[in-house]
Amino acid sequence: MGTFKIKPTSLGSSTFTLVSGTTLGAFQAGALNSSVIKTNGSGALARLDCALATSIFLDNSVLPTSFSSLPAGFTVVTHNPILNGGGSTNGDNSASWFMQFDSSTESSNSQTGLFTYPNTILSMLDLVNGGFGVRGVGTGTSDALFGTLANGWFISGNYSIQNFSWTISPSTSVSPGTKVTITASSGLGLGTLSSLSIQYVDSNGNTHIDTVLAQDFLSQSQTQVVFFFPQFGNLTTGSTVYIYAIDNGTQFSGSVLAGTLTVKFADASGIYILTPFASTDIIYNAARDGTTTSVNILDPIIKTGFIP
Amino acid sequence: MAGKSSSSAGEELVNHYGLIRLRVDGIANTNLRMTLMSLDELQTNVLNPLVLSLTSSIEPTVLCNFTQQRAKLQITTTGLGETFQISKIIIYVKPVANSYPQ
Repeated sequence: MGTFKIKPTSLGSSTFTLVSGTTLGAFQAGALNSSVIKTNGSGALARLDCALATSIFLDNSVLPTSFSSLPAGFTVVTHNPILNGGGSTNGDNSASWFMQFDSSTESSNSQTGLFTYPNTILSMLDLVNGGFGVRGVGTGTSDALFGTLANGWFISGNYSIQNFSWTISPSTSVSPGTKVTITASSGLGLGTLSSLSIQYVDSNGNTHIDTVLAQDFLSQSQTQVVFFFPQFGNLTTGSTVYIYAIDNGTQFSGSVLAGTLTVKFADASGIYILTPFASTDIIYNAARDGTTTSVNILDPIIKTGFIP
Repeated sequence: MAGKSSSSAGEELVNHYGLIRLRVDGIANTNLRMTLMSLDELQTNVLNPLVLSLTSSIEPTVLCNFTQQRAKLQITTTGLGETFQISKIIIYVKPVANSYPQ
């Protein structure tokens, strides 16, 4: 179990007058303002946006952890936006303030800066992509929120690491069309996977990412997923391919490395595909590294019958 | 020996092949190589190659000079990426003799 904070990286949409200015800094730690946001008589909304690469801070770290670098099995347990430093309203105290996750999920009304939220637990991906904000509804132009920001505004929560044990079979000499089986022997199940991400670096150093959606699985259960390995090219026999599992958010956020396998670049079958207007034959190189060479179509010849 | 009928099938006449006209397109700069060949391909007449284009408004003519009783035309390309599409071939032939001397 650990703790995390999600800190905003930019000021998104806003429909209010910021007393202290219109920069993100007004919402960050150390900002000391008598009032950060005011209703301006008709309402106020401030959205704070977060970034997958720079908004996540684990266990009070001063350096962010990117979403893609979260530990395998990372799962959000609890979370809430924090308006740290307390909160208060001035003016005629008639304003109502709501802290938000996305634009349709927000806390109950508060005039004190302390908020309660729906019980739904969002995934880390949704928390970062959704950002957070504050909405104010008031009648007075002097209704404002709020005072000193000792630690700024952020989403605070707890996480856990789900243990799991998955195996991939076969794990060697896998060719396109091979039926691959992922089996869960303990921990996280496979029944809520939404897709598999198959990633590898080809012989030219380019990264390839192929996705197999859950709808294309041959079968899926809590303990087993079966799928056909997709086509690949420019990859030598014995190369390693990484299989990442993406959940629908029920069990874990982001992706989990399910395992690796090595591929086999199969020999050409000798079956030709006719391509209209192709002016060369394309054959795989004898090195079996997946590269191809264009060769001359062998002297196309026509001969007429004898004339007359 | 009765004289040969002038309305014979003509297979034994000696013909002069003088001109070939084609309706042909191909990948630009394709060299269309043509050869006339005699019976059993013992004798040949290699013609000047025809340089093709993807589209054309003319039906080009290639001269030849080949005297045989029968001949066939071979058309080929030899370069990487060369293709051709032929929709018409006209070979101009004129009999020049009834037969070879015995």
